[in-house]
Amino acid sequence: MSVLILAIQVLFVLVVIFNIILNVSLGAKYKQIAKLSSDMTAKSRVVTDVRNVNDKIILYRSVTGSRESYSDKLDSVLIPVRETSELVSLNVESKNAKLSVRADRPLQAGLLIAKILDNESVSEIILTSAELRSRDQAYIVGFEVVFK
Amino acid sequence: MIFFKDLEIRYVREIESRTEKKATLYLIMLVFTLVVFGYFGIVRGVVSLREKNRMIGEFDQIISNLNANLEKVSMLEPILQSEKVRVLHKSITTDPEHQNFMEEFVKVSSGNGYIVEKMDFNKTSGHENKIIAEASLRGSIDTAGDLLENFHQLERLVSVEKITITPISNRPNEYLLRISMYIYYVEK
Repeated sequence: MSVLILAIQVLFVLVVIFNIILNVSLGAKYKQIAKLSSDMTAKSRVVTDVRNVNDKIILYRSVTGSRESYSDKLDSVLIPVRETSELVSLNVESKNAKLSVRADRPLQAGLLIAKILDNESVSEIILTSAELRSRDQAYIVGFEVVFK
Repeated sequence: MIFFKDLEIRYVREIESRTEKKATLYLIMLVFTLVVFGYFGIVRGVVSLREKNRMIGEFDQIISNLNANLEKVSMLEPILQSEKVRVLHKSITTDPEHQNFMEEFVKVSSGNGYIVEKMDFNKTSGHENKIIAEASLRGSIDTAGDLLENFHQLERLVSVEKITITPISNRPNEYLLRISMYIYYVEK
């Protein structure tokens, strides 16, 4: 029985020794973390800059990826208008354009439709209005151009 | 002296003759050891050892993450000074400023034969970091396509949203272009 009592006490001493070793190890690691955190805090400006640059890269990619070329759309409408009629108004958005032209003869409007449809970027033209202006006997024709 | 010797012998005899007392003493000592050293010492000590071991594992993970982050930061620091990043900062500013964009816009427009008559800037509502820029330009429609193409060459990132073209009365071949576009910024 005395051996059992002694064994329990030895085991207790061992547990205490291991606890002390782990305490020392924990203390050292805590100090290391404090130092690394302080180093990281010193670099906080760099971290903020990196995050800012990262956000900008994401935004840049998103905008340039979805940005559409308006010059092609504009040319696909303006060049035929210049060749056939006279521009009254043009409103271009990303998917469609609202066009109003002045033509001396109805044939010019037909020719304009044919020329606009020749362009590969145009998928559809909807004739929205047609009016014969009595003041100058001119035809004011309105279209909606739908882009692909 | 003989008296004391005799007393000792009698005491030993007395104890050894009462073995049940000896067993009880050992039993009390064992129970005491089990409770004090066993339960309060070893069991709790082992629980504490396991907890500390777990904490050391977590600390190691934190140290490893911090080291990796510091390494990344040291690697990224020179990139922040690079030409590409400098261009990116010009393309998307950190503040919602538009002075430089306005100057550049006017320069590109006049290069394509347009006169900028008016420019308005408004911040968009909501969380989006963009400014609506609305410009009114006067000029021929012949170079309108080139003008819009040149907007993509501007240092500032621009996305055109809407264009309206109307002729200017009493000025043949002169048109008014109203261009609505977005310019971007990302705050720190």
